[in-house]
Amino acid sequence: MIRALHLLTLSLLLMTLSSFAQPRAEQDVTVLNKILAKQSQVAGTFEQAKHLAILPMPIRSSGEFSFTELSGLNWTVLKPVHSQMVLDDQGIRQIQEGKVVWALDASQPAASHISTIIASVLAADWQTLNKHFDLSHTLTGTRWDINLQPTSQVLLTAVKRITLTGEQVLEKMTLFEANGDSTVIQFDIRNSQP
Amino acid sequence: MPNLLTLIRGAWLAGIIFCIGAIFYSLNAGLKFDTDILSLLPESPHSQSERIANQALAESSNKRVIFLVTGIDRQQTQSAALEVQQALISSEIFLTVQGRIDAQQLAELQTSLAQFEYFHLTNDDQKSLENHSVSNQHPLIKQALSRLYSPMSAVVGKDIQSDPLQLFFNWQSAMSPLTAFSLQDDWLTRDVNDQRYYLISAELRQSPFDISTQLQLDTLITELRNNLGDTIEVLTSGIIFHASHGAKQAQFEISTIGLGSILAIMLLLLFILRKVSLVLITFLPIIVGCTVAFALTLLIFDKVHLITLAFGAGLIGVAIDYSLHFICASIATESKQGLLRRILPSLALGLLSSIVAYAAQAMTPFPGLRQMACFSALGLIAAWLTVVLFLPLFNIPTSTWAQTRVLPILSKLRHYWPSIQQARLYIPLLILIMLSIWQLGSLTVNDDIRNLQTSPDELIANEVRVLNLLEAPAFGQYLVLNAATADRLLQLEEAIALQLESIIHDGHLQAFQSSAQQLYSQNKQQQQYQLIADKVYGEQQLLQAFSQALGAESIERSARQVFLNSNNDVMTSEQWLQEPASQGYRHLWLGQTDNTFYSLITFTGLTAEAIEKLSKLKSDQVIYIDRVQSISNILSLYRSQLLLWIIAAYGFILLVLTMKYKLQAWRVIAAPALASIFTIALLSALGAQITLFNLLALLILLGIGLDASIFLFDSKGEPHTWLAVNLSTLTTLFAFGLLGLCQTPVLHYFGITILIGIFLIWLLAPSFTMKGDSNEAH
Repeated sequence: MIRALHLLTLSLLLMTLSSFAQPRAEQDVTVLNKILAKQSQVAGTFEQAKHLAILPMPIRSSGEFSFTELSGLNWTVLKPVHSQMVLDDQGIRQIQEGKVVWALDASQPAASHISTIIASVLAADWQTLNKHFDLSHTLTGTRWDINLQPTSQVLLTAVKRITLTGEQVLEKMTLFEANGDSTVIQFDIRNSQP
Repeated sequence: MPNLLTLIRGAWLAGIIFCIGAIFYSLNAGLKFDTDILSLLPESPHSQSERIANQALAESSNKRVIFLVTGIDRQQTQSAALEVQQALISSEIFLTVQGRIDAQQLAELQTSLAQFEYFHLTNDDQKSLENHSVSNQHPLIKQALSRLYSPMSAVVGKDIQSDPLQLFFNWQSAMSPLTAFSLQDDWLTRDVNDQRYYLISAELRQSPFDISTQLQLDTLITELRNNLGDTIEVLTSGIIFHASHGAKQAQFEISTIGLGSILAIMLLLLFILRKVSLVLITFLPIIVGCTVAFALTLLIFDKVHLITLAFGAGLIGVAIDYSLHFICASIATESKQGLLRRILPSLALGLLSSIVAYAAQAMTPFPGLRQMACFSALGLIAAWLTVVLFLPLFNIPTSTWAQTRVLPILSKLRHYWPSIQQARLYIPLLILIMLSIWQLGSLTVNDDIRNLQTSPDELIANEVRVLNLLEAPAFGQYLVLNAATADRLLQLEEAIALQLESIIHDGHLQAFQSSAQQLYSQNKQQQQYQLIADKVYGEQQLLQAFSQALGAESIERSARQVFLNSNNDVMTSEQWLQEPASQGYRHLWLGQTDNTFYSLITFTGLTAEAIEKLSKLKSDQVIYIDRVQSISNILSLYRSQLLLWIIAAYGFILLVLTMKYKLQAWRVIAAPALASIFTIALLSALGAQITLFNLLALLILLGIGLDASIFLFDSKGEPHTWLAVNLSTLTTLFAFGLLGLCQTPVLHYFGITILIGIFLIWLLAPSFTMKGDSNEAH
């Protein structure tokens, strides 16, 4: 009886927006781990340029970031305005003047998946990235380029591909969006621990 | 006169043939058994609102089946989930199977409601727009910029023209229901204790009570579990699993109880009557009774409940009484002339008393019980008619074995039977009565709806595990709202929402779900559109401030153009129902019935304080319903009403008996009355709680007890009647007593009460109905 009344629930679950895909072969991961091993802590500064098709000039911002496995990604924009965003297991929280002004629960993957992607990239967590992307790389001396191709049709509706470049540490990440826009983030990593 | 009798016999034979024909016709047309335990419940709850809500909830939940696939190894589990999904699709018993999410489905969800984006604001954004003056320090501007300057720009950047301040983005994220499951690996999944659960939900094509669907799903799941092995677990939830178990159990119980009682009764009769032909003659009225009852019940009710059949199996035990009395009288008497005439008054009174008992049962508002009563009454009438019309046609020889061996033993036994006039009986009996009344004082009752439950613990545990993982809102408790138009209903929901917000604010409630969270009333939509038009898109308003702050002034012109070109009609409830995004809310919108619109509001994390406040919202338009509580209330109400019915039935029967037996009528009614009191007192003393179904059994005891008492009294304790009563007691014990072995709680309570009661009637009836001197017959 009571059970009977509980069963309506499924349709509630179909309200979600983006996603990931199937695991890949493990050998790429082993190679990539040699190029750049998994980090448990990363911190530094960033410069972001958001290229929108409809704007002649990119939207630029810069600031500091720090990532630890435990506390997630803390993204602090210093220019042009001061603002803070925390992306972790709980979801995304936007903080202004020390107060949470907006939050998105992790169960709503609309934006929280973006935190998984960027956190995995910063941590060089190839194992996790390998579940959602085809990983390929090219080496030029000690410099490397890594290409991430989404394996899920669902993820492809938002992200066309992601490229990472660096030497010893990650220097640049470019996210090509499905509609032709792109986000380029340059990192200056000062502190990292495997 | 013989001509008239032949005519009646002919008519009855024609009637029987008609019934056989009707059964064959139904069998060919595809017989539908009802196995829904809920149909035992009253069909008319208190209000129209409650009825509509229950019906709508049943419709949307009945066909829903949920599977959770889980295992330790993620990759293996995911491919297992895909295998389950594909097996479900290819079985073709499902209308829809929702497992792995595809891109197109997701794209549709993303763009859903977008054409109405300027009509929707979150409460927070609405307040921000109303309360803050235009500047580049406006909280909405700061929030929007901060996202564009962070990695989140990959999510919000693409809509910068249509949704520069990300108002619609805010609204979309706010109105998506919070769920425990999230999209991972293209599946809705949840991680608990290192295990990932993959969700598949499906909708059945047929009713969950369709037996062939049940069988197919059963086989399918058994095969899947075998194929997937021990490392993968498939959890299930759905009405169909309980319906399927209920049907199997009922079928098993009917066949075992039916066959068991028939077999036991046949052996008993064979032992006493010593002739196969006699046993067959005794059974003839029962076969006719069951056939006629089954056929007419099918005609009257369209669907026969399996529990009716199980209960009806007990009919064998009662219907055989008439045969037994006739046969026992025949084998004990040399002159068959006028035999029927001599026992006819007793037979008639016996039938009447049983019919009165069943009539009382038919008065209860439980459709299932009515059907059982109808089935039993029709069966008894048919069996009785067959005994009276056809049995005298057979040549039944006098049995010397019965006369020389059985009857003397019984007479001897009866010799020791104390009469009620003797102090050695009435004193202990009086003490017992007083003890019983004292025991009845501490009687505990049980109106729990779990009495109607048939599912085994294992099935329920599985179900509970799934529901806990889903963290679904409780659908047993909700508000039902009604209004004359769809828009007024939404306004009402909006007004109620304000009160619910304050209950949430006080910490007594986690969340609520209402259609108006996604579908705003026309008025509210207009207001929000106007607010956006003025405060965002107006000259020198937020849009301009935002563009300047971003350093991209061209945005202002293009964004305003997109706004001006956009749809400016509000969203109607019809349009909303067509949107993919409304999927999670549609079950709350009950639509129009008889010029009134109905909707539901459901809750998560309801506390006692919240329930108290919700109950106080009651008005003509709002009602708080607790399904479990209201069903228990109904059971309790009918339990007390049934008690009155039983007392009334006793009163009525006493009146009828007094017309025939004058001051001796109490002797006839004493056995069933005392047996009933003792039975309930005994059950109570043994720690059992009394349910509605124990009381129902008392009605049957009344019918059976009167049969025995009337025959014993009328025959002045002749040995053949005593034989018939003994046989009839044993047959009833076999027939009804076996119900006590049933797993189905309803039948179990019923059976156990009858079992004790019949035994007591057998002990008591002779003492009350036979006078001291008749003990000396031999």
